[in-house]
Amino acid sequence: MTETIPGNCMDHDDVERLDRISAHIHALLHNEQPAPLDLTGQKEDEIRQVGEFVNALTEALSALTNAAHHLSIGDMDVAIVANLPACHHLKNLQATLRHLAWQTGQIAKGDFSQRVEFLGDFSHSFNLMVEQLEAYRQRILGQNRELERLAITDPLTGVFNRRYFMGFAAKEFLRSQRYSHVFSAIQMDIDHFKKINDAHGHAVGDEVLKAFTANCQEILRECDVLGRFGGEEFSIILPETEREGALIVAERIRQTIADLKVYVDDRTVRFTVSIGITSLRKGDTGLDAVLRRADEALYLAKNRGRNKVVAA
Amino acid sequence: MFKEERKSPRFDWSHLGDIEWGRPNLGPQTAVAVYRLMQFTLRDAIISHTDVATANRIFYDAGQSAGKAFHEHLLQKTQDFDAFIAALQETLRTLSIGILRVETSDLLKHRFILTVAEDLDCSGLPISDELVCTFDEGFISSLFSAHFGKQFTARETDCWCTGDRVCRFEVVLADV
Repeated sequence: MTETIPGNCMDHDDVERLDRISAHIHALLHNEQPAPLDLTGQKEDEIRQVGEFVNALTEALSALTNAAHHLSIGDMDVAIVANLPACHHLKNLQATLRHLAWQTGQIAKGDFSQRVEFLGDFSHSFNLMVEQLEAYRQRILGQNRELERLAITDPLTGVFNRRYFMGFAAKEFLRSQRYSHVFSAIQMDIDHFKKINDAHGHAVGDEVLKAFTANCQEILRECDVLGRFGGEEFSIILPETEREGALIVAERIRQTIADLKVYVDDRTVRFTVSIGITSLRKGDTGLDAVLRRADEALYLAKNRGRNKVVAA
Repeated sequence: MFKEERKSPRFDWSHLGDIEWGRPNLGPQTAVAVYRLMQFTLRDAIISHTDVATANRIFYDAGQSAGKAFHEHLLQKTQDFDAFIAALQETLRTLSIGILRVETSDLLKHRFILTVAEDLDCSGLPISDELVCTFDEGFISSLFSAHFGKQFTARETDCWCTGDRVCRFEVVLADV
């Protein structure tokens, strides 16, 4: 038996139900997890409807809290089922984080074109980080290229060093044998180089070596390889070149050097080069045989008065 | 050309005409609402005359034709998947079609999950618990098919209309 309160359309039962709803909302607002309001057996009026709405809201808030918790610990696959406006924002964040995870993977693979959008200051910092990473990467790549170059070149003249030259020559020997191609080898020695050093000093000697290699490079093709064997000795491999072609190249080098004047301070230095050449022969069993023959030809060129080309 | 009977699609890029020549004053742009007006009245009419499944099939097929032509005429050609995605993102954005983002890309299993934010078709539509981007499904499947040279299917798994803020598509190799 319910009793209407005078001056009020609500009875005691209504007041009691409103108190429960009020307590439920108070608990929600104070970070508690109230049990759903039990509406069984209650009359179907506006208060019950409010109670049902409060239960639905509590459930949605619980789902929202759960989703926010999972997102906050990096669980990007959590299902965000509630339809509150806040959930829409969380879904947006979820999509952005998923894409961000993919982008990070892409960056790890070396795709530095990735940029983050729509995340305010984080976007700015992240994108700056990617740009810096790319800049560092480019710098390291450049340094690696420089290290590689230094490892295979002669620091004074910039031509290949003996180690690289021998490696290239060995590969060329194998390639030519396998495909029945030919190549030629040239051995060169600057005549009386010690006298140049003694007469003008090592600085002038260095300029002579640089001028010599620069002029050789002008004559050679891009596929030819010039190496410094040490001191004033140089070698050249001419891929796909017969003896006749090698002779032409060698003679052109000899003549160019003979005509060359190197100016250092107020001095003019002239010098010559002796050259021995040879080409791959059918009986050659190794690179050593080819280079030895070129060396012997060089020895003959020296013995015949220097500033000469001798073919073996 | 446009009104001949046919059993298979005959769409050609030339059907779009010379817009610059034809619209010297109004130019090539129009409002998103106008595009949607066309899309949703068309869907409405097709469903009225046939049924939802038929309407979906028509939109999917039309999306495929569009994707194929889009790939052929508007995308920079590349063999590289990352470059393909980058070009697609750029073009979709430039044309104000949507903001494409990738969530998963498994090149070994040929499985991809993409999202499109601010989608031309659906962003801002009323929530209806329906996946409505059927045209986009066909469109995306065709882009992937054209890029990989294999048949792909795309399925929308989340949509603005289902309460998400992006449209999410799962793209996989088709069962041939």
